[in-house]
Amino acid sequence: MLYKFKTHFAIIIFAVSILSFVNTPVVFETTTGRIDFKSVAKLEIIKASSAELVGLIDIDKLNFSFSVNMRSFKGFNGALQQEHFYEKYVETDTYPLATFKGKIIEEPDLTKNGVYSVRTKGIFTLHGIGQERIIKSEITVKDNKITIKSTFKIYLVEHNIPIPKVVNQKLANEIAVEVNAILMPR
Amino acid sequence: MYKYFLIFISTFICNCYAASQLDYGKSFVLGNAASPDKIQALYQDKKGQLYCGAASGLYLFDGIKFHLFTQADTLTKSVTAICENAKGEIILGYESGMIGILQQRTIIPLEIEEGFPKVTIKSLLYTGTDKLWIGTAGEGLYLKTNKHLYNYNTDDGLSDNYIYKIIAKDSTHVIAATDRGLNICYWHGGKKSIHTITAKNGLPDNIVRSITEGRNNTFWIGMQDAGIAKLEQDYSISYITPSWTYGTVNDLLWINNKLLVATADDGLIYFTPSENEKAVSTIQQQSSSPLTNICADQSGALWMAGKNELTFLHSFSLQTIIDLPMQQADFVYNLQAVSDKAFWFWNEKGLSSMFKIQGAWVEKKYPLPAIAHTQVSAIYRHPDGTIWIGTLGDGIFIFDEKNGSTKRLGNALVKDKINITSIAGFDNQIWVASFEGIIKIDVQNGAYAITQIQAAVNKYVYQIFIDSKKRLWLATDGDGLAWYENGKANWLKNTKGYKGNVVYKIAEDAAGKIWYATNDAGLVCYDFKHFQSWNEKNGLSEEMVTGIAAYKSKIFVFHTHRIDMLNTDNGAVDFIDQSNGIDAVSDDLNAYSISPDGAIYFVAANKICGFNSNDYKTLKPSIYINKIELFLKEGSYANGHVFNHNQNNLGFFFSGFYYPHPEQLQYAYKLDGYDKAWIATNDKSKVFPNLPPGRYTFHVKTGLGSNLTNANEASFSFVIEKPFWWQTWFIIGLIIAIGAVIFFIIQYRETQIKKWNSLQNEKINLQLQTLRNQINPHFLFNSFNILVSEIETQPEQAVEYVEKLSDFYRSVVMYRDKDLIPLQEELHILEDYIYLQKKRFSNAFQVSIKLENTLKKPIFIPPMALQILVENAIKHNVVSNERPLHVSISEKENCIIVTNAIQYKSKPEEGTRMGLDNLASRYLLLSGSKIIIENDSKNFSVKIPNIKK
Repeated sequence: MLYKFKTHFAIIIFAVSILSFVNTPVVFETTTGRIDFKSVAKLEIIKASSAELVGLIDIDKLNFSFSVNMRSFKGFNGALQQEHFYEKYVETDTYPLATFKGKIIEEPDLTKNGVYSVRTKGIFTLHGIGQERIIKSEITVKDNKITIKSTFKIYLVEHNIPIPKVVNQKLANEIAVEVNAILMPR
Repeated sequence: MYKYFLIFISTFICNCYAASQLDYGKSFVLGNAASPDKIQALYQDKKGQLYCGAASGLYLFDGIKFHLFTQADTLTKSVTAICENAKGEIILGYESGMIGILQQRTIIPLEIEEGFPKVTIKSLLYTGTDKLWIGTAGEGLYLKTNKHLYNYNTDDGLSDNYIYKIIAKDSTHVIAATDRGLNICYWHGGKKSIHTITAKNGLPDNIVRSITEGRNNTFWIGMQDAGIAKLEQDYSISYITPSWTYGTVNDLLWINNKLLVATADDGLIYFTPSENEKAVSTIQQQSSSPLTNICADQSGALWMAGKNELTFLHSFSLQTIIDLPMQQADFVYNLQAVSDKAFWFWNEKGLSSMFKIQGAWVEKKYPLPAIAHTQVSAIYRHPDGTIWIGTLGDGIFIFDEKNGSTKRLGNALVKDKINITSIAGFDNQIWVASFEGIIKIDVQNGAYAITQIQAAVNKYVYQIFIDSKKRLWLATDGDGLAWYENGKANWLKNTKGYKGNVVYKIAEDAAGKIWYATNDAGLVCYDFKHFQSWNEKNGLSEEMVTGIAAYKSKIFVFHTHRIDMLNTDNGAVDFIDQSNGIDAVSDDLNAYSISPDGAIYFVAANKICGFNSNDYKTLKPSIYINKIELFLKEGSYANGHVFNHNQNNLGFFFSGFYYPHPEQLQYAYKLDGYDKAWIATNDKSKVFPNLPPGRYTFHVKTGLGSNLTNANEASFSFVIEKPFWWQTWFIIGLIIAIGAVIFFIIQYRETQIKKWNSLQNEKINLQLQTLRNQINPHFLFNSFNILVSEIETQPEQAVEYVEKLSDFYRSVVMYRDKDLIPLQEELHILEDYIYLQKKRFSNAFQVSIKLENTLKKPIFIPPMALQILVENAIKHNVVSNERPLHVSISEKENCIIVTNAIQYKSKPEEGTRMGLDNLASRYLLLSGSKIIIENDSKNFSVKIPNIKK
């Protein structure tokens, strides 16, 4: 587990160093990043969140990379449920990370203050399965601080996460996700 | 109860399913419910064959089934892009980034030195003779030309590396639609450049999913969220659909001034852009199932793919315009088409008009109480906006579209109670056929001037028709067809070859030929010279015709269950029937109509349906020979292939393509050089076992139904060689060989005879020579002298001498005609000779014979051979007591050698060398070997080879 954490950080640091080497002033890094998810099933509503979202944006090339450690999700309706989430559904031992890497389709000038409604396109990987996604986001730039807000849905079946029949009244296939992140220049 | 509930549920689901389908589409599912496949690419090749790229591989669709192609093991399965090269070979791109090529019905990897891209191939395009453009999802654009791969990516200025679609702009430019706008990529002679168009240049949405070519080198582009825009010639962007609500545009098609749009969420949408193509007013939604790909063939038939379903639309504009209540459908008659956006019809309840507003048909009803209870027999809409309604027994009513007023046309000629059968008109003239006669009405400023053309027509006039030259035609019940020229009727029934006494309907094609439907002679075409019947033999569905309509070169022939569509340009006949959702076509003579702009409306079952005939063109079914087998083994044979005499079991596999009605295809084949006539078949293959040698051409054709006279054909010519023993070269060669053998035999015999003859000659010569020698007077005188001295000195020995002499002469006579004698006998002769000579020379002549070994063997020798040699020695050499002559006869290596020391006489005796030459040639003839004469100036020796008989 620790080893995986290390690789995860190593990847980020490596990515950061490459990006910074290429164009130092245009890379922004998360200072706070939060993900909330919500499953609304017939018999149960499950909520969880993580504040360990890390990511980078290159505002010149309009590329980004975000990553979250699945073990950092807290909440759930009890410890047992959380354990099930880790072990049975997302299999955090095998797939510790969820990632979204890609590009911003529109060409906003993120050096200027403003609110930009953009579409991001990239590969969203969860449970080891990558899916090409276009996700709408709102980017707010104010005085060299970038705030990102995004809501989207994850379909568990697309990521090969089976829902046992026993719990199909308790766990929805469609998971609503909300992302809030603040990024500062690196 | 539970069971019934289930049935209810399943019916409900089925209904939902059916409702989401098109009324007139045919759907085909790839894979099955348990393992649904996914169609990801659609391509119709130049031959018209449809290829589907799916998650499980590449399929050919024949109209009924999907046929999976086999592929090399090294290739992955999921096909995402298809194109065709200049040779007509299919090239396909895979989700894995691999690229394959279809050769001999098997997919093999395309050779690319630099290797395949590592990301999904989204689009493939072939331009010119060797340029393959590859659009990838993440590696930009590749160009493969001259065996090299060139790349366009963001480093070269490409706006994005994720490409959805590439399309050729001209010979040097292609347009790539990407996640970040359009890229116009240039390539010429190794130089590349990129012009990008993104949101910054006015593109409404950076994600451009699809692009298709429009008019005048402009391109329609379909976007992720913003709908449709247009790329103008000057690379400016016109936004066509600012208020787009149909979601992602997955594919586009521009046919016949209509843009067909495949959307991810809302199915097929189409519209006709405004005149300047800058805006769109009416968007028509034709289906609602999600679509990924669409393509259309030259006939105007449309293919749509979404998920694992492929849907075929025979004519994409065919649609239900209005559903009528069940009872009413039977009473719809007198349909009057105005344009592709309007038509009028009469039903029992009154007059109705249908208008297309914002892509939707709206019905407007006019109850018209004044006419409600009359029997309406004809309606006609005049261009001035008046609707003329003819009745049986109640005259004519004129309804004004503008103010809704109805008035009755009446004067002395048009009485209230007349019976109208048909009304037609143009410009400012209206023509009316009634029981009471034919009248002409001139319309001027709302006033009507009425003239009677003909007092009474004896027969019922089904239709009054005005052709393109403004001539009036009558279709009558009993008197056939008539037309008016200078106010005078020409009744064609008296013309030679005329057909049809009861004529229902008249139409005119683009060439000005008159087509008319009869109840007794079917459909007839009149070109002002001949009357030609059209029936099943010409490909019509049935002889019974209920009506016809024509637009340009398209003739629509109505039957009770289907509508035939005849293309007069190519003679092809197609139809729409139950399989296209059309059934129970109304047999009312006036329950269909075609507008001047080609929109056709008709009543089928309880619907009024319509389509635009501009959107469809009847083509002939196509056919291809796709496999040739030799002894049940597939091979690749070029046309004109020459087979060996024993390669005589040939199988031909062919397939016809006609997507509108694949199940109706019938085939006929003929092997020229074998079959005398065409042979009809329903099989898609024919095997000819044991063909005799000869020249052949296999022809196969296909068509709808049994009429194949005008059908498309495929052929394969080949030769089966005669076996070599029947080949001309072989026979000639054989004759030459036999001739040569005979020649050599004869020659051999001749030489043998010559040899024998010369041997005979030699022998005779020898005999002569020997005789001559022996009767040589010297020899005789010498012998006689010796004999005299012997008689004087030793009389006893004289007797012996005479005996030896006579022995010698006997031998000479005895052996003279023999070729060979045993050596022993020769030695006897020689002994006699030596005795005689010894008597003469006494000790001056000495002969030594050492032939022990030779005598043990059965050796033969020509008679007198040794005698001659000894005689020669005596003849040429000095024989005296001072210089005695030694002759030795010895043996050596299969030879007898006669040697003497040379002591030539001072005066050589006259000799002719005949003895030695003769002996040499006899030896040559008898044994084939030479005698060897050696003269080393001391010794003279003759070596004679031994002859074994």
